[in-house]
Amino acid sequence: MKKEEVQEIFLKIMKEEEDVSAGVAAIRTLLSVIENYKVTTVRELDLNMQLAVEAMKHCDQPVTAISSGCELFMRFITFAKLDFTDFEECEQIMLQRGNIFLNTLLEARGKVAKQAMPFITDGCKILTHSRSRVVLQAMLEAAKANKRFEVYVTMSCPDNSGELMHKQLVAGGVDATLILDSAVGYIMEQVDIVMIGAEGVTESGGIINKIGTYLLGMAALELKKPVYVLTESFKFSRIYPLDQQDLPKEFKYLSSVLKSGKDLTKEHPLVDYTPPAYITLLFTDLGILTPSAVSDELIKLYL
Amino acid sequence: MSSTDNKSREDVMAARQAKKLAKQKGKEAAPEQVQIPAEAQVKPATPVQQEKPSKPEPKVNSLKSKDEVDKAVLKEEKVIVADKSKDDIKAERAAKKAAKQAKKKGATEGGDAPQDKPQVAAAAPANENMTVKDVVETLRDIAIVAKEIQGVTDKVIDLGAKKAEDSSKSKAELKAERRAKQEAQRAAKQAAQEKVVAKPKAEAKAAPEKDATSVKVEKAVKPKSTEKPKVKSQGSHRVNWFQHLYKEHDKESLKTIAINSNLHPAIIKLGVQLASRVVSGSNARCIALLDALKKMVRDYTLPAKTEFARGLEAHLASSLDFLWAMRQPSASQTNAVKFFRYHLTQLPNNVDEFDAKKTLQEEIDRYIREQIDMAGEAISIAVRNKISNGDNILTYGCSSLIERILLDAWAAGLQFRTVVVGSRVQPAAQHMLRRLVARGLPCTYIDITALGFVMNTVSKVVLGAGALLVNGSVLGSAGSAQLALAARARNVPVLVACETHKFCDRVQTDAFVYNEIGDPDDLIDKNDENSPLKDWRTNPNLTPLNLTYDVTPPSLVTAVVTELAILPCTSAPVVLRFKLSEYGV
Amino acid sequence: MSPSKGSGKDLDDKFIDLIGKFVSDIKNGKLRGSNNIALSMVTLLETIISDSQNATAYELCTAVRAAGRRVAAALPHELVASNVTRRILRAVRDENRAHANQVNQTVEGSGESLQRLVLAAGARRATLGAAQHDLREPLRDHIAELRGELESSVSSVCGQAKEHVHGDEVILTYGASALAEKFLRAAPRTYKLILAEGPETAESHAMAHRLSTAGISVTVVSSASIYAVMSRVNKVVISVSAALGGGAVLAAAGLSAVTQAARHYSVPVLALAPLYKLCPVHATDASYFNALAPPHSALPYERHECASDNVHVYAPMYDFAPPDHITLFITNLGGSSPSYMYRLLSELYDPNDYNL
Repeated sequence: MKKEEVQEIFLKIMKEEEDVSAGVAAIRTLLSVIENYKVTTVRELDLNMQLAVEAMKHCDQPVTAISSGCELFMRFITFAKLDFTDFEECEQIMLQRGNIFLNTLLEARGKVAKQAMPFITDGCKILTHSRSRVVLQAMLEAAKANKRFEVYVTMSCPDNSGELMHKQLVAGGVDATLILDSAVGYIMEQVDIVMIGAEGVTESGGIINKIGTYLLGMAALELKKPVYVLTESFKFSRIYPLDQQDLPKEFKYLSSVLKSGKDLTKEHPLVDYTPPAYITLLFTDLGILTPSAVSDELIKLYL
Repeated sequence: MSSTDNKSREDVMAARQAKKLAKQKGKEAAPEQVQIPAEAQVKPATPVQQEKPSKPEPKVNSLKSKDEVDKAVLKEEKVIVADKSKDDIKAERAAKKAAKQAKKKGATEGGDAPQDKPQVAAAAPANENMTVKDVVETLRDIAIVAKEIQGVTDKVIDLGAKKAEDSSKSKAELKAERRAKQEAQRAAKQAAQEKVVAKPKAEAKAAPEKDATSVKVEKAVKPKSTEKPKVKSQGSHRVNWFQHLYKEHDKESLKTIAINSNLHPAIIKLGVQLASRVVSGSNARCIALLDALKKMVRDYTLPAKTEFARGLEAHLASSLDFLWAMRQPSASQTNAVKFFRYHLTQLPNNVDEFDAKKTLQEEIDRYIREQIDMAGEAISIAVRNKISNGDNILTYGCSSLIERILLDAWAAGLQFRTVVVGSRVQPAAQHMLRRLVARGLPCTYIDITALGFVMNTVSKVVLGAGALLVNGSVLGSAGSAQLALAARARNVPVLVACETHKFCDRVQTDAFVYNEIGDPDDLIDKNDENSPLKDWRTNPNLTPLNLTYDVTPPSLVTAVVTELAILPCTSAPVVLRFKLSEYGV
Repeated sequence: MSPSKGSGKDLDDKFIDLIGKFVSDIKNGKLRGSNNIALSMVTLLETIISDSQNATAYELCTAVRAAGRRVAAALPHELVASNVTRRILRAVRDENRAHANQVNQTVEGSGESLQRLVLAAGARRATLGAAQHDLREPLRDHIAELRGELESSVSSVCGQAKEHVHGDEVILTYGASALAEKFLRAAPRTYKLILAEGPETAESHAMAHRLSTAGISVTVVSSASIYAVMSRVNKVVISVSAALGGGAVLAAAGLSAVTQAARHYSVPVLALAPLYKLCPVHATDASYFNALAPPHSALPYERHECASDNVHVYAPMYDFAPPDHITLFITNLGGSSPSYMYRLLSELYDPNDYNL
């Protein structure tokens, strides 16, 4: 199995299906690895998996979601390995479970959107940051339910993904306005709630998200606006950053930048860490959680 | 009281003479005058719930009092013009109530005497012509009645109280009687002498038993608001952490009326009005005080061989002692007095009496015009610039300045809604509501418990202030700090409108360091006859606490609007420095 | 099919009568106090369960849910009734799960979790169709247990009073509440109490009077002086109408002033919330739960001259305090911080029942 092949599969999924998040794409890649690359022992399979994950992390795609999704998948797979002597059977079971897992994840977004609906009230003004598919789905569903609300979207440099979000919102019939990242403080007093997605949820209950989220959280706390994070549960990861510097480098910078050996202190990070104190509630497919509940869930799973 | 003006000096002398004679005769002649029934009043007296032995001053909560407050706020002339009959009525009411109480409780001591004196007072209203004399007489009667009431009060508290303070109380009674006798003797002596010379002596001896006022009088100090009344030896209901503030209000302070028979009737009238909260609100109190001072100055007779300034100063001191004993001064009053004193000291040494008086009166008029009237207008314009169409403005309680601001803004054509927040214990907000509604403003009224409900629809909060302290804190009526806190929680800007004459050089961090305790019985629901708190005096564990003031820290206030500028709260010391230089202090 | 989706057949008429009587008792004031309402609701539901013809899990759930919906529609502000309904529904599900349990499940709780996700456990959804057992007997035990818990909840909350209130402290409480009164009585009576009158002044005064005769030194202050006295207060003890998901609190009007002032002065706030008051709804502010009392309590009708067409008078009944204003919830099971409320909720109720 070659690294480049894995990367190819992964990138293909990412490119062709805009709607799929990086984590889900990664899991699908892993599933296809199991399917296509036949091995004879469990250990070989493990190795393959690890190699595949490594390969995907070097694709210049956001690593946060990839890493948490894959870790969860690995754990999931592990449970299947135990009782079966025949490797073939084992593999079949794994694939089966894998598909169940995948299907569950695909429904997660819908569940999250449903949970967030009551919090989008008529006449409310929402501020969101950059592009999040979950938030987009939640808002489009609310618009379909004939709720009238306004959305302010930050442009979110450097890749201006906020513009895409704005376009999609407007196409869905939502009254959306694009604002500068630096205008967040200015606009904050007018909005009612802040709704953002997350690339990863840390064990502390904080989130890792596109750079600029931390500032948004600080402004919202100061002006007493609630911050709601909409995220699927497979994004929960076990890392516990103490501060911004403590975030793993792979999350912050593209793999190509890391490889090129440039001076990282002069590079712009892609993500930042928002501590749990700035987050009011997390909407996940497991329910509406307070930031302190995240750790609870993770402990139940891993310990 | 134009008649009073003309006959002032001679009348006062004559009155004093008459008083002396009448007093001596009065004790024998009392029974003859009984036949005039106390019930024959020109105006109906307000019904009073008299479970407790206390204030002979009227509890006016009729429409009349409302109007008085209105007028006091809007036009100072009306305060002057307050009918002579009102004075009389008040005095009569006071006397009548005293009689009622005495009837209820005073089976033991002096039961008859109080009844008689009110009859004398009752005879007064029939004669509109004998103005000054009547006033003096009624005041004297009030004084005597007050003494009697005090004796009766002591008895009742003796019966009810569990603390062993009887020794001090009986001493108090004895002292009271001794003093009464002394007074009678002195009145006789004084008929020929000038009152001013005798006054300080009278003051010294006439000090009431209570440590607080006696300390004040003996020192003859300027009645600064910073002085805290000392611990009361009397009063079985105290809240420990308010021990330094507790003042068994009204019962003791009325004693001083008996002693200060040389006070100008306007001062006495003001004292009664302050104590009974008829005149309330810092602007109203300030204007009323200055007006009374004006009258005092006008009627003041300079004793021979005394410099005008010094003589008046001494007289002023005693008047202020009386007033502050009736109710602690507000910052506006303190500053007004400072201003007055300053101009008094600025008078040249050999000034002609008439000129001096004219100057002082003009200065007072100017102060009122500039510091209150024009300042109010400037502030109104400044706040109007901050109000936009469609705003929802929230205000608390009753403030003359805020009312003016809102009415001016409405008259200027701005379309906004007002939310008036009231409190069950201080129903002044309802008066403000009535006045706003009368001019056509759309209003919402809520109780202070409903703040969380409306605050997210409010665009601005505008509050009045009692005083602005040097550290930037705002002293307002109880509840304003809660309002500011709730507003801050929703990022609603809080504006405090405060004229510069209310800036005072005191510092206060919380509402405990200095506060005024209101009438605890205001907490009891008047409509409920069987209120569980009814018998709180007999219950050593139960104390209603009615705080008048509240301190809002500067972090909760967005801006203070004064006539000079819109300032942040922390710039208060700058303005104060500026102000003090005006007084040369 | 999940019971929450289907409307199911409606309740029998006799059940509807019972519910009607229950609702009218509450509205007439014959049934007062949240504890009493909870107990009566339990009895009502027990009757419905015992008398229902088909005792499968699905049928019982439908019946109980229908009853709960009716009561909630009639009395939207009696959250306790809905909570009890949810408890019973949870009991039914648990019984059903225990009965139908052939797979060895190590998962705890009934809700979703990562663990469940990963283990791909089978019956994760609310499928109750299969089992046809008669669940009434085991349910009776559950209900008896529930009733016992309701009856003892007051005493277990008050039993914790000694831990939290010590002598020589100054405690502030707001408004009138039977639970707060019992709590304060249970504590050693050497503390000083400041009672801020709530919107029902007569009851607040009566409570002050009773506590003072019990030997506690009580100072009554008006609701406008709360900030002024807060600087001297050591602890705030309040009783709440409902503890919401996320740790927020719904209580009598004017409570937000108390909690805001307490927060300003960093005074700990203890909220007394027996488990039956825990409500799984989330609400960000009081607009979720608006009930207006007659405006007479704000502005007496005698003052009608103040009012005209231009004037609105409001007297809301409830107030909302966000989770960061509450330091500790005191429940039957002990103290718990607001951020842990989600855990208690997940133990009490099934997530499918959050929306009745």
